[in-house]
Amino acid sequence: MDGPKRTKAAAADGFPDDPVVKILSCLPAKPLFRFKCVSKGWCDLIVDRLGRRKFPQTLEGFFIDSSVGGGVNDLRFINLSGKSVPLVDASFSFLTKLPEIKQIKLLSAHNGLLLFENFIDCDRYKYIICNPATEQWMCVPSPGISSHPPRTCDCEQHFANEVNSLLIFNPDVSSHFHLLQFWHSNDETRLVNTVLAFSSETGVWRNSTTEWIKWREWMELDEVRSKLGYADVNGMLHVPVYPQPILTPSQRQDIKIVVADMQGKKLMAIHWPGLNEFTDATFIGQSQGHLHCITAHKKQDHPIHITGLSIWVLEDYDAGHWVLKKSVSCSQLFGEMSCGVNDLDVITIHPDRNLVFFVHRCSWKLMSYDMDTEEVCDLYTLGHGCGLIIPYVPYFADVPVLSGRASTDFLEGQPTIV
Amino acid sequence: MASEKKVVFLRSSDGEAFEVSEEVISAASVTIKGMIDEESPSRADTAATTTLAIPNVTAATLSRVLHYVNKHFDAAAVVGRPDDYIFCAPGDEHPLARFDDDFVDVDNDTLIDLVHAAEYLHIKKLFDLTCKAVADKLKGRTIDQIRETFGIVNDYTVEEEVEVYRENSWAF
Repeated sequence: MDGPKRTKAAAADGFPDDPVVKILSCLPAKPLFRFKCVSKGWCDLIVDRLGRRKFPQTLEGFFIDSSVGGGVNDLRFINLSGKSVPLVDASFSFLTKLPEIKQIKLLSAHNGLLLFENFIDCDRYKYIICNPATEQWMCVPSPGISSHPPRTCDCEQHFANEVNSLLIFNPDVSSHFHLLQFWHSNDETRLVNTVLAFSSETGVWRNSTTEWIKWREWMELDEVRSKLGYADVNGMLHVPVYPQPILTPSQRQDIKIVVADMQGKKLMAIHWPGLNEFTDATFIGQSQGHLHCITAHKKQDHPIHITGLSIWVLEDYDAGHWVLKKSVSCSQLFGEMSCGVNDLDVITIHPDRNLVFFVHRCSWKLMSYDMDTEEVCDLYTLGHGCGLIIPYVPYFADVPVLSGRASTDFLEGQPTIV
Repeated sequence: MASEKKVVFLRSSDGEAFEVSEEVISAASVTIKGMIDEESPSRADTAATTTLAIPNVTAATLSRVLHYVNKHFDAAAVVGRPDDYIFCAPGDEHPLARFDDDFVDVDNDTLIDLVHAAEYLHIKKLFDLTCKAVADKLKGRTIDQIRETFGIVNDYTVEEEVEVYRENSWAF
């Protein structure tokens, strides 16, 4: 008998051309890059497929918002790979050319999707969620709640500090995205007074304050310090929370990491590693599937100065077993014995490598520190007063919920909180 | 009654014949469905059962493949929605997830044979499953082990090899 006539059928239902390609497409980025060393054929195949966006992606660069007041014209994208042409057009012309889009400001990014705030006029705004790789996008109405601070044109910067908006998108868990917002009071205590969650699955905002407040009171935790970052590990969101109002040395060990599901529900907490009166929580992130925390070491005689960083990894999640992965001094990082607590910002940890990205605010440089080789690299010189730096991992697949674009449900629908 | 169902025989490369429901194997394997469709004019209304030669697959592999096919494609045996289970959220374990885990918990050669059989027979679900299992095994391998597994000759010159290792050193 002749061999089966498979070719036609194969083309028809998209059956993969080659087992090797299929196998490689199932690998995470790290072994995939390593296997480029197997042979020229494999290297070409992997490079080609990466270029055609068939294989898993990794950290490609950063969006840098150098503006003070916001606005898309101040956004830049810098490549990590050193290629001269930016991977992403940071002018976002596919959005700004649309009549309904006035002035947009980048707030957050997660796994390839970006969250923008779209100012319509002084008192009205909406959110835009987009994927710059596919130019898919959709609008989400503002929650329209009465408890949020009044919005005026001349206090954008002030206002921007009053709400922390997190975009959460993990295509391994769900094809839907979620927004989580922490609204802070306007007074000097800056306590969180409202927590809101939006799901693209339901299309409505949900008030989660009770869940978080209940938790907060029990734990005596008040301000959510989302500027430390947040991480998704094992399909759960990890957000650091701080005790307030004034941190006494004994309270420092009370800093916790609240673990929530992607909709901001089902809360529990785990402890932040390595805290004592001489350390500060600095950053939380995910790398190679593990939760990572970074703490800063303070000068014992001069506690507003820090002398170095410790990088912790939660090796065994279920057992809550933290391991000190690496400690590094300020002199190793930028050749000075110490710096002010606000002069060293950890931006992110590479999702597939033992690499930490940070900004040294004295020299305004974006730098990287390789935990394996202890090598420090200058990546980019930022302008003074540079605001947000947002890491970007592209996502090239279709996100069905975004393909509706100006979905009338979301665009025209009345803001609802349930 | 089972006797009313049409069956076909599949003859492996080493000559062993396996009986399988025509309906089940047609649902599973695009290749075999094509073979049966080609045969059908000549066997219409005849009582004779068809034997199809599967020259690329050994008896050991074919019997595993049919075990999988009967679990996944026999409508009477399948519980739930068979096509969705790969995408189930963590915790919502599909009834066959456990079967699949055990199914691919075999040595490398057996697994590679299953990949090739799934490719040849064009059983997409089995192909996806076995490729994923191979990938899981490969993750921790060294470059030399990968070359050995796939029978690949290192065609880099010494200089090229140094360069490609340097470029990708972070991934080691």
